[in-house]
Amino acid sequence: MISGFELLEPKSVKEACSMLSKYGDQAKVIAGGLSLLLFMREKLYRPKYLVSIMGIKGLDYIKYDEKNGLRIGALTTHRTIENSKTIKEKFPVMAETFHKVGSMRIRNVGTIGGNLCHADPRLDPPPTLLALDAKVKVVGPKGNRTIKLEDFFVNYYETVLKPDEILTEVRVPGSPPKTGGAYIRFSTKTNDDTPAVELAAVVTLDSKKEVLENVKIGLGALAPTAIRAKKTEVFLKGKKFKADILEEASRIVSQEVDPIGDLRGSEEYKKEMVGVMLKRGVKMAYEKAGR
Amino acid sequence: MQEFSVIGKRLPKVEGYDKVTGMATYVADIKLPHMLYGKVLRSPIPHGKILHVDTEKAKKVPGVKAVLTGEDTPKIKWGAFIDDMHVLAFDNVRFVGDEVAAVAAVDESAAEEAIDLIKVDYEELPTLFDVFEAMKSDAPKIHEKGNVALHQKFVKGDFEGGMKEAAYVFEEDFTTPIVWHAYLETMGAIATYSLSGKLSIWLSTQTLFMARQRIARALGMRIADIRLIQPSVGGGFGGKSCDEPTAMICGLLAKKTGRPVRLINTREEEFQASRPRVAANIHLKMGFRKDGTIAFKDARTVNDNGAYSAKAPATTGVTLTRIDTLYRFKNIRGEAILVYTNKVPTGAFRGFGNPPMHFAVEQMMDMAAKEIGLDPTEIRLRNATQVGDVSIHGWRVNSCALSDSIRKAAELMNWKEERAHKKAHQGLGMGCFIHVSGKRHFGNYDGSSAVVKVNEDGKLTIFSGEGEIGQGAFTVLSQIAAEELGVPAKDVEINVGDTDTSTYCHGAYASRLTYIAGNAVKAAVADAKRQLFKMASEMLEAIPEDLVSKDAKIFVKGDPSKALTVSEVARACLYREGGFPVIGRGTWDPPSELQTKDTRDGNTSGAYSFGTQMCKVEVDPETGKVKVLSFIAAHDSGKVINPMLAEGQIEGALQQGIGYALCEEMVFEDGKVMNPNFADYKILSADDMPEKIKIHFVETCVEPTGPFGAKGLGEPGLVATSPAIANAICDAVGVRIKGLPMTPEKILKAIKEKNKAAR
Amino acid sequence: MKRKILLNINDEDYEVEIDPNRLLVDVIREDIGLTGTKKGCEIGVCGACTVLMDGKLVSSCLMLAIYAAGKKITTIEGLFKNGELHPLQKAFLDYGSFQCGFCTPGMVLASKAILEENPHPTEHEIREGLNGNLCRCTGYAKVVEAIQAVAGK
Repeated sequence: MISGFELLEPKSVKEACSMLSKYGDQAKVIAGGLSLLLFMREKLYRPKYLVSIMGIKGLDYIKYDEKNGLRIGALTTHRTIENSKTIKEKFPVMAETFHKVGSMRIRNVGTIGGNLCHADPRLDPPPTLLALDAKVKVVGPKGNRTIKLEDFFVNYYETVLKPDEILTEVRVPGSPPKTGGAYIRFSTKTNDDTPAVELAAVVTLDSKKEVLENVKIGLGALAPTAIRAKKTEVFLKGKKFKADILEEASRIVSQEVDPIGDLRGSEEYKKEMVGVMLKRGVKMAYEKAGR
Repeated sequence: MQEFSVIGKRLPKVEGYDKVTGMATYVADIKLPHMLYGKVLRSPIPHGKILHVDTEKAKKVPGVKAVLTGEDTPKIKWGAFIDDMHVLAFDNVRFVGDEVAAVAAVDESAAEEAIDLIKVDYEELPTLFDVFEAMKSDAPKIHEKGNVALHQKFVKGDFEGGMKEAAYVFEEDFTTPIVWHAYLETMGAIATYSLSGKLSIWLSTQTLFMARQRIARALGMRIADIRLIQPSVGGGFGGKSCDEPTAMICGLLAKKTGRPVRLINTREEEFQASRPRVAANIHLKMGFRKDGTIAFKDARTVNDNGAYSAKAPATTGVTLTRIDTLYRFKNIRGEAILVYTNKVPTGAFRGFGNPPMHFAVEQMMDMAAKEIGLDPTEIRLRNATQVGDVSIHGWRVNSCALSDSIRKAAELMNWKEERAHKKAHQGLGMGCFIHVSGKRHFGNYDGSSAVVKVNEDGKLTIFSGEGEIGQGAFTVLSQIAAEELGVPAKDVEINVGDTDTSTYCHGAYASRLTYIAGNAVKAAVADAKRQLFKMASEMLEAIPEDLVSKDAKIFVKGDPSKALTVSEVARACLYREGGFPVIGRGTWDPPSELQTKDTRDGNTSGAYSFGTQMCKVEVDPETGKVKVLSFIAAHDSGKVINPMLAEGQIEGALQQGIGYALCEEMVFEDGKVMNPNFADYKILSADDMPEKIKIHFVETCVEPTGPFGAKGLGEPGLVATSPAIANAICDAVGVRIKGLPMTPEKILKAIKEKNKAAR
Repeated sequence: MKRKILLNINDEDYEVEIDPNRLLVDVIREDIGLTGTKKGCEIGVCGACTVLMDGKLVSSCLMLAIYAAGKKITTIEGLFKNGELHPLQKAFLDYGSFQCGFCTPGMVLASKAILEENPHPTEHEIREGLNGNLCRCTGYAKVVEAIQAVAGK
């Protein structure tokens, strides 16, 4: 059973932040409510106040221009993102990733903001957004700040958000030409199972389409937060796309993660699988970049 | 082949309209006036002595009307085969989840609050989670009588001689885990108690009358003072056989409060509260002659009972012996040991102990085939049981199309071609199976009974206490009744199972309903038909033997122009001096025997079903992940009454079988279930299932004792599934996995070990 | 503190007075008495609690009832209109696409959503669309057949 609470419905972000200030740790933000209600059912959270931001207009949008790149409002659902023509065109790996979130029912209700703030390292969007150098805009009573997504996650279910702050927007810079992305969600049981490995690879090629001019790897389910595989990226950057390079990269990425053995696989198996997925992901991204 | 009007037709389910419109009423949908909500407190520790239970604070929660502990129960131990279970614990708790106390309150939140306020002091006792540790003579005792709940041993035939004859010998260990039924509707009950002494319970159950008996025994009541009504049931698969105390706890709460009480398990509770599949540790040794025939079989299985004995004593015997009638075994030795551990009690799940031994033996058959140089189909054909055989345990096989099923499966699979031209990392595998159509266990009766009334409008109403849990019993029994009397299927209605108005039936288990209940219903309708024919013969001035009934009409054979409707005849019986409503009664107990205790001899069932499954898989050599590309199931279930429903049974069983093979497993840590929900215990979705599934019913040998030639069908669909997949994996990547589930990690590890050994 | 909200379910308005912590599935089942929507897992995974909200599939077990105020909700009971079964309900009957029936309300609504998004889906698209509606009885084969039959018409 979900414990009792008072539902507050601010009409603006400013109002929401002041409510959060007022009630402090007795309050929690609720968007679609999927993750929050799950945690409340498990009695992990028992907030006396839920500040619902669903009534705040102007937080559900997808905008793109060449200068500012992609901007997505925090209340945009996964479904809207997966079906967005703009995103399918400009950031196809994002559309593919968001298509894999949960089931259709989850995607119809879950929001990108809610997903990121929940900070479960096993969720699908963060690795891809990390690999796309996403940033988030956060609003609080003392003003706004823009935070790199890789600095946003702190630990399981913990972000740098202060109790009176609200994430309002996700920003993804435009991709240079000859960029391709791939997202792999490797589960060891059923298709919808929590994955053993999540890997997003975004690759930019040189004009000859031979050299990996830039490589970004986002990983999920392998650490207390979603992370970027920085060492692997540094290794791959500037190198030609070749089998032995990929092999070495797979070894490096296996060392970059410290996964926990669980129902989805042992620590050793996950380490090996991230290496396998690295090769597959970079190859897919490389092929897409070359088209 | 006999021509039928209704048998063999793909008729929609009789209760279908309710189910597709959301009108079907399951136990959680029922609300009675003044109803209370029940909740159970379960032990958080795996083994302990209850020192004190403090319910004072719980009782004070506003809205709480009763708080019960073991002291409020009759303290009678009960069980399916061994009386070692309680309703609420009064001495020790023996697993995480053991029922300790119960609350009834005006709403769920008050009930939950009260549960949280019950304080139990335990003296923790040593725990045992591994069967091999638990069976040691110096292991701490979980029950007074010791940790071995069952020990069976036998040698049959000329075992020593068989060992000498063997040209090839194989010896391996196989393990299978505890897996869960995962029916979509959790268990639940609504109980009401009238001061006249009658306890009425709506129960999500598959065995009404046996539930009634057990509730009566556990609560110290008279059997007929309990009324069990079966609402729509959301799946059972063996898990809703009243081998656990949900109904009893609910009944006690109703008795105590004098108000209706509804008790529904949450999904997480369900993992602890039900009785999942018995885990088996099998040591198997088989010897084969040069021609591929089996010279001997030596099997030992050590099974995990969990903390209490639900149906595991019977499933363990089945694990050891049921497969012995699949092939012409002549020399066998067997040992089965059932051991208590401090985990969830295990019990009946579709297949009932049969799948683990098939996982072992069917892999060994393939190992032998490879070594001897025979095709996997050929080695099985050389050993297959044939119709007319009496097996080593005295099982009389009146019908058997096993060999036909092997050949048919091979044809549908295009076995030879596919194997010859498979792509890299693809493989084909097969498995054969045997299963029963009912099994004589309980009180030396395995029969069924039914009453049918012929209404004045000629419509039949059947009263059967067997019940419907989704498998199609209502529809199949209606078809049998309709065929017997010669009326359209829409002229037959079957009444909800209710122990007050239905006659004694054992219920849905052991794949018995089509075969046994079908015969009982057929007999009841035949009885009604005799009465109708006697009246009709007078009305038509003929003799009953010359009459036939077809399309709801009764007429002299060959002269349909002078026909009477069933309605006219029924009314003629009723509306006259000395009249009577036409009521037919039927009962049928199959020609089977109780098995002997140790050797498991005795024809346990009236009929046996057989079949073959084949599959094609693809293994990812870098990850070990298996994709099942296609499945063929060629089943011998005699004459199939409703092919659409029968296919559905096998398609559903395949989902469970593939899950058992590849990913399902209840994971325990210190006795606690670590994956008690659908997020962590994964069952296959539509996109996990192979798109290419072909089901074929081999009707080349109908069952002479079955209704219109039918025999058991409900369980077999998953018995051979896991070995078929195991054999396909071996064919694909050359590794044999002997422990279920065959996870990607296990397969990858085996591939690496094989590659290492090859260097 | 309880709140009065108006829920529009199957084209009918229901006024209920409820605490904010009440879930949509419980209000539909217990307060309004439409029990076709089932509780199978309470964590949004099994699909038994599926309803349509403004035409979109949602898990009513993870939806605050208050969030459903002012939206158009369709439960399984809403598909049977003017004495006629929805074509999918008829197909489920004819193809034997259910057995115990517990997952069926959610499964039928999911099937509806699949066909509304894509009137001529491939088998793969159908199966992917059904992911997350768990069934333990049928193996899904005949659910796919029923959807294909309706799509084919």
